[in-house]
Amino acid sequence: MESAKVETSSSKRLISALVFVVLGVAVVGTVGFTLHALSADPQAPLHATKSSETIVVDGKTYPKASVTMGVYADSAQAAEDGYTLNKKDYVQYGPSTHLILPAHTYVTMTIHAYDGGEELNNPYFGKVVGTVGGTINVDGVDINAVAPDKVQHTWTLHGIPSTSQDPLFVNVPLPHVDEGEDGFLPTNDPGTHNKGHTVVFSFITGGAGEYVWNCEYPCGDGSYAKFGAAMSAYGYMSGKVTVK
Amino acid sequence: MTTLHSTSTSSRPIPNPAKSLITKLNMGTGTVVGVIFALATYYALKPIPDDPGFYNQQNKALLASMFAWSIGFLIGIGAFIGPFRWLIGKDLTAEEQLYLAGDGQGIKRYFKYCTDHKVVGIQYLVGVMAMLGVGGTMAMMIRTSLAVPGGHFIGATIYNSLVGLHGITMIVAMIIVATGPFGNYIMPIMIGARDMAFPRLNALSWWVLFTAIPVLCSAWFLGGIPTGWTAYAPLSIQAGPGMNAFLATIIIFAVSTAVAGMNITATVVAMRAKGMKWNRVPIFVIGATMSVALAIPAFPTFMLAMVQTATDRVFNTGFYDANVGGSGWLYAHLFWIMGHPEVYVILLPGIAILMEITPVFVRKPLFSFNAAVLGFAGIAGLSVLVWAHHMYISGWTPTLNGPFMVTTEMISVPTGLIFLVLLGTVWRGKPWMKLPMLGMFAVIWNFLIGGITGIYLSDVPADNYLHGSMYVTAHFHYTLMGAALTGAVAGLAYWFPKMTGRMLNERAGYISFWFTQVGFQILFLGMFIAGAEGQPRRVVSFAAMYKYQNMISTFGAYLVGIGFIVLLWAVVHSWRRGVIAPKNPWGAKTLEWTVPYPVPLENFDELPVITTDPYGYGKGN
Ligand code: HEM
Ligand SMILES: [Cu+2]
Ligand SMILES: [Cu+2]
Repeated sequence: MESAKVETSSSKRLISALVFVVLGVAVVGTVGFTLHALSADPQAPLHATKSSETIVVDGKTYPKASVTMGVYADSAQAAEDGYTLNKKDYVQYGPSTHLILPAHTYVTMTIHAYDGGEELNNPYFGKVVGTVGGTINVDGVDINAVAPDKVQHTWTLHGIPSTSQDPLFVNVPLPHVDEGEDGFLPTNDPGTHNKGHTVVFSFITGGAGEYVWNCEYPCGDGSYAKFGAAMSAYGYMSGKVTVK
Repeated sequence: MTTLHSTSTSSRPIPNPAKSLITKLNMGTGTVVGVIFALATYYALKPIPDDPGFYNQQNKALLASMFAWSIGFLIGIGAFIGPFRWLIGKDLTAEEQLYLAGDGQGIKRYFKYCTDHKVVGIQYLVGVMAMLGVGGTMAMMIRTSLAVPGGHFIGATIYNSLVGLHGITMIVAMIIVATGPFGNYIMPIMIGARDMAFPRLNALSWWVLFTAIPVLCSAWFLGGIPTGWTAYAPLSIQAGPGMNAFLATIIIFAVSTAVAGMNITATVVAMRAKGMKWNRVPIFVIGATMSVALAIPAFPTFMLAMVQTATDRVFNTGFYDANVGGSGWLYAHLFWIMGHPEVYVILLPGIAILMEITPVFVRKPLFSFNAAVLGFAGIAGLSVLVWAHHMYISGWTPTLNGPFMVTTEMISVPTGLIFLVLLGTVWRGKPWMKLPMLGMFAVIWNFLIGGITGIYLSDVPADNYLHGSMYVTAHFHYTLMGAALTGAVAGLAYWFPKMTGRMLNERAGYISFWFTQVGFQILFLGMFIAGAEGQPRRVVSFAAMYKYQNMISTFGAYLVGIGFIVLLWAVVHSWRRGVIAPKNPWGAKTLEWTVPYPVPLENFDELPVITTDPYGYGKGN
């Protein structure tokens, strides 16, 4: 059986080699596009609502836009606000963590925050940074910081070091929902909305760009230092912001 | 090599395998038993509730079921039948032994627990090629994603997983790339032995390793390995369930290398042909033996590091958790006490292959066998004293940075010897520029760059800046891929005729060689520049200033990718329809070229007796 086969003709060999290379590239390419498809963001982006009003800040006029989000202790809470996309029962932002904001605009963001909290690892993130006036409005009161042991989550927006896009850094600490405020911690009774806090703040976007944001309060499950679960899965305590 | 012949030793019994269990077992039964074991373990452990002291119930169940898979597979394929029969006092009969050696079973023996070293060699070869293929595909994904700044062709989470999986797949593949196929297939013949010292352990080492492959693949479906191949704590302790696959893979792999290492060492020490004194042992055998001998003490620390990571994850033992009195440095030490010797475990056989090849293709004796051995020994000896050069920046005892810098830089001395041996051998020779010889020139160039950039990295002030950058990545690819892998490919071209009975297609080999080598230079030149300018490694996004460097890198990577696909074609095609090889196509003097293809079950009809060293070119014999 061995001796019957001799070296094939050179043209046949060339074709076989070329076909093989094409197939090899196709296999690698298929793997690539499959992974590309798998890495697509499963959530529909949340577009800011543009308004016809304008506002003057430091002598410059900006158009206005607004966007509203919630922070929930679990998915049942989120579902009450009609947010059912995320599969896992983690603490989460909603309805989407991918925001699309208009460029060179005065964006007002409202966050309804329903979770409890513990202490920040890094007290820096208890300070408000990058908002208009350096403050946030919590249930009608303007503040410029939250005590590091009273934070439930943070909304921390920063650039990815990828392009020469305009810088945009915003850090908003969300004050925790205290046991005393409504008699129970949200996590003790999942699925029940407590009254939570309403946090309102504004910032001004630059030119078009891609940014990421995440929560700087480690709020994942019990694994090491609470960086597991929600903290390590995209779309719960992290997301991106497309300015365009 | 001049040989006399001693009288024949074997009068073989006629193969007539007893209709015992061993004839029915193969990969299939192994898989079935393995899966049953794994599932049973998983569902037995799953319901046990979480204990407050334990991190994660899932970790416990997953880890245990991965080990159960491995043990179940080995039982199912019949790995323990020999010892079991011995235990109950009914040792395997001669016929059964012969059956286990795969006598007369054709292609089927490759899927069985086969003790023939030649079968094990082919199993390793195919396994390694598969691993390199998977790891290489991942590399293409990584480079595609890094083609443009913020490209994100692959999402960040998948990217992180890919980087870790690519790293560990390639490291495991590279550890076995030379000693697996050539150490098993060729080496026993080279030293004039009928088989390895422990044929059953030989089969065990391969099949144990084999069980690690599905475990490693399962990482992908369990959320990936987000830590990079170094799996530093506490990152590895925070990581999701995919991390268990990493731990189990390494622990299983460490068992395999321990078994293989003992076996190879014992074979070379005890089974050499009559007259093969140490200074007549082919240099490949010396290099491969030093490599596995270095692995024997190194790998247990890796295994221990992983066992402790596992108990940290499962039982909250806190070895590496500073919050409860552990230390992340402990992990780094255990890892690099293995990690640095391991890079030479990878390198030595690759270089030794070249030393074996070069005399054959310039028809000159190896330039100073003794210097070569001294070089290997020096590298192996020093390599256990340098591990903390990976930890300069970690803050661990800065006063010891100086001494570790000195030991690290001292490795250049034995490395220099190795270069001298290779260059001295080609010096004023007229190389016969066949494929294996091309590899030798490529390695001289690549390893020069790898070694010199290593010296920059070992310099503490320079490393302050370079640590954690793409520069490190480019450095170790020059050594691992540019030197060790290129050496192994040269070895494949050289020994292909003996392992398959056919010549490796020369033209495709050349095309592949130039694509991979030129692509390789482009790929890592771009990466060196980006790294020297500060681009961090393992990060999905990079700043706009690294744009062109990365584009160049990715372009080079595609050339390398095409080169390896061409090589794969050459291997597959030549294996099936290549030109039938003569017994000794290169006119070499080592013993493996004295046996015909297919190599008889016991290699030699009459065991050879050695009277000279194997490099006596131009000495009139
Ligand atoms: C003259 C020889 C060499 C010297 C002086 C040297 C030095 C170094 C130093 C100092 C580092 C640490 C850099 C850092 O992390 O900041 C390093 C990293 C590395 N080297 Fe070498 N090296 C040499 C040869 C080799 C060889 C032969 C191999 C492999 C075959 C190798 C593989 C590696 C690997 C895998 C890493 C990076 C590990 C990681 O962090 O992932 N090196 N080398
Ligand atoms: Cu959070
Ligand atoms: Cu090292």
